[in-house]
Amino acid sequence: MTAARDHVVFVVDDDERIREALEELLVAHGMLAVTFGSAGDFVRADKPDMPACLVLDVELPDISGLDLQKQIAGGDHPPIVFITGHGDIPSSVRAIKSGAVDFLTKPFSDTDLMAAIGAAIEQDRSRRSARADLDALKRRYGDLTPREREVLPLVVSGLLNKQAAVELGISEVTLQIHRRSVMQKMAAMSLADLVRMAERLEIPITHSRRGGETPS
Amino acid sequence: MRFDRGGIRVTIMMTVQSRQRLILAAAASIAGAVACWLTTASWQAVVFFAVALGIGAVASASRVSSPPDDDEICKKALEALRDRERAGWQLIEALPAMIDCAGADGEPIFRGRHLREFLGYELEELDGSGKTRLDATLDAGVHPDDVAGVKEQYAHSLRTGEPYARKHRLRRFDGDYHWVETRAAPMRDAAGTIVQWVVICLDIDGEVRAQEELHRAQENLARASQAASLAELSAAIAHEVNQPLAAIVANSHACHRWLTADPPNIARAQKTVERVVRDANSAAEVVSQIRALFKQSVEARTAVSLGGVITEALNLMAGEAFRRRVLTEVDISGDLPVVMLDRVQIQQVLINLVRNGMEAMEDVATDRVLRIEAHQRGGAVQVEVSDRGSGLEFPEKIFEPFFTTKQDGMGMGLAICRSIVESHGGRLWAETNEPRGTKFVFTLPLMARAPS
Repeated sequence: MTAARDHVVFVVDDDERIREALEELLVAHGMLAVTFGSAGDFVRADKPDMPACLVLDVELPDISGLDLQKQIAGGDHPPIVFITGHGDIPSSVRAIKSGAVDFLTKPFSDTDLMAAIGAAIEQDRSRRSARADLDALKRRYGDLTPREREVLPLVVSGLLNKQAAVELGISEVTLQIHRRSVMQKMAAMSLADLVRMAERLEIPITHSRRGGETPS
Repeated sequence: MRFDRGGIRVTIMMTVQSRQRLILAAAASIAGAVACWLTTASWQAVVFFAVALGIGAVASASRVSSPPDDDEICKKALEALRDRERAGWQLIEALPAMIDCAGADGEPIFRGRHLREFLGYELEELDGSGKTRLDATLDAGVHPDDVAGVKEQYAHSLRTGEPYARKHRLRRFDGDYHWVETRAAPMRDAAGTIVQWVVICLDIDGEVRAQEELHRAQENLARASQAASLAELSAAIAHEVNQPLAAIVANSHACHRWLTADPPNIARAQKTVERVVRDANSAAEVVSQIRALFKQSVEARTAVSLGGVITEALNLMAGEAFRRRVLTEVDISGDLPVVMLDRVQIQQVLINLVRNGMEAMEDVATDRVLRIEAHQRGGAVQVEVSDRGSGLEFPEKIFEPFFTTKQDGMGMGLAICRSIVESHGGRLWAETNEPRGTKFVFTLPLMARAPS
């Protein structure tokens, strides 16, 4: 059986028997598994850059799984599937509310575990692809000249070429050249496409369109 | 010879001066003793202080009663003496303590105002009953449960001359019993013969009640923490058992996948099976550790009457019985012999059985009766807890660890109960109850097995 090594499952549990067993199960399912005995080990480790899932024990020797969740919240971390030997309701509610994919009580069935891990990896995969798109967009935006970066917000605000040219104190023809260059560099298919990109890049709309004329 | 004013009968021949000296000395001793008791509460200090004051009083009285030169001086001296005597009595009567004086034989001969007011009758009122005045007073005033001990200790002090000290309940004029602390010490003459006993008695009812309150609160706390520790124990057991179980489940699934792969990976399947065996053994180890835990506490055993333990357990469960509308019937033999047992553990067994019984009658609409019996059967005390629920499907299986018929049960309760009873050298089993339901029976041998 060959492992499809396009994703990884991190397992954090202080009980070696659990780490072994989960690693074995994941490998048997053709997955790549990396195990850690404590929250600290996981945080310090170099993690491969691929879709991932974190299977996290609630009761850990250094800090609890729930505290680790709080600590890495906000940061760039894989979706979490909690496992616990106690399974008390308040903890599970807290974990799920803080964005955990699932909360499984030991002993759990492999169906439940694999379903949760599958969902978590899918979630991470789409999160990562969204982030990759944004990174590409940022790179393209970085290629724009300073003048082109001035032209972009005016164009996506819906100003006419004439209005935008007046705003920047340049001729309409020069503005049209810059505008064409922006569309090309950003790989925008249409003005609407460019507006969407500007939104994702969170470029502030500095001007609202004045007058009833449509842009040419 | 009688000295009418305070009712003190002086039984030995003495001059006026020496009598007065004695009274002053007694007054000063008592005053000093009470003052000292109130401030330091140390009996040794009381005796020292009393003796010092007594000597002082005698010395000063001696000075006043030096031989008169003429009638005038004699008269003045006598007047001064009477003033001192009056001051002495006023002191005794005003002291915020109940004062009593008794003869060498223990018979009361004087009572201070506070004691007379507390009792509500005068010294002579109980005379003529045929009893001695001491016995009549004790019978009338001391609480029936305390009177035997009080009499015994008085008799001991009178026989040996040792100071007396005891706390007991004393009947007040209105019929209320108050806790009092009584202390008595002998007064001796120069030859060392006891001539009189001085007794002080303080009303300590408030303090005793406060202490009882505190004791009750502490007991409740101890019980609550017992309940908490059982819950914690369950959680700890759950965690300890769930860890290897989780590993077993995961390894079993992995093994299954290795075996069903094409081609099967026998080497890895074998490795996972070995781990399954190892982890299953470690789960079993947890259970035997729990058993060992209960066997270790032999030192905690004391000779206890089971009736009291049963009553306590039922009191603890009274709220739950009420909530579940369960009627409790109790039949405990009055002459139940004491058994060596760990009170907390046996209480846990009883609470567990009682709770099980109540839960078994959950689905019974009426006739929810839980019956508890305790009788001696041969060389053991046998306790039966019977319910009128729907009965048991697996009368033996229920004692196995992790076997449960309840939705949220862990299946440890009865296994732990059986461990506890067996560690006491007894047996626990289940029977079918007539007309319906289940009867849990456990025995505790009268001669407990020697600790191993």
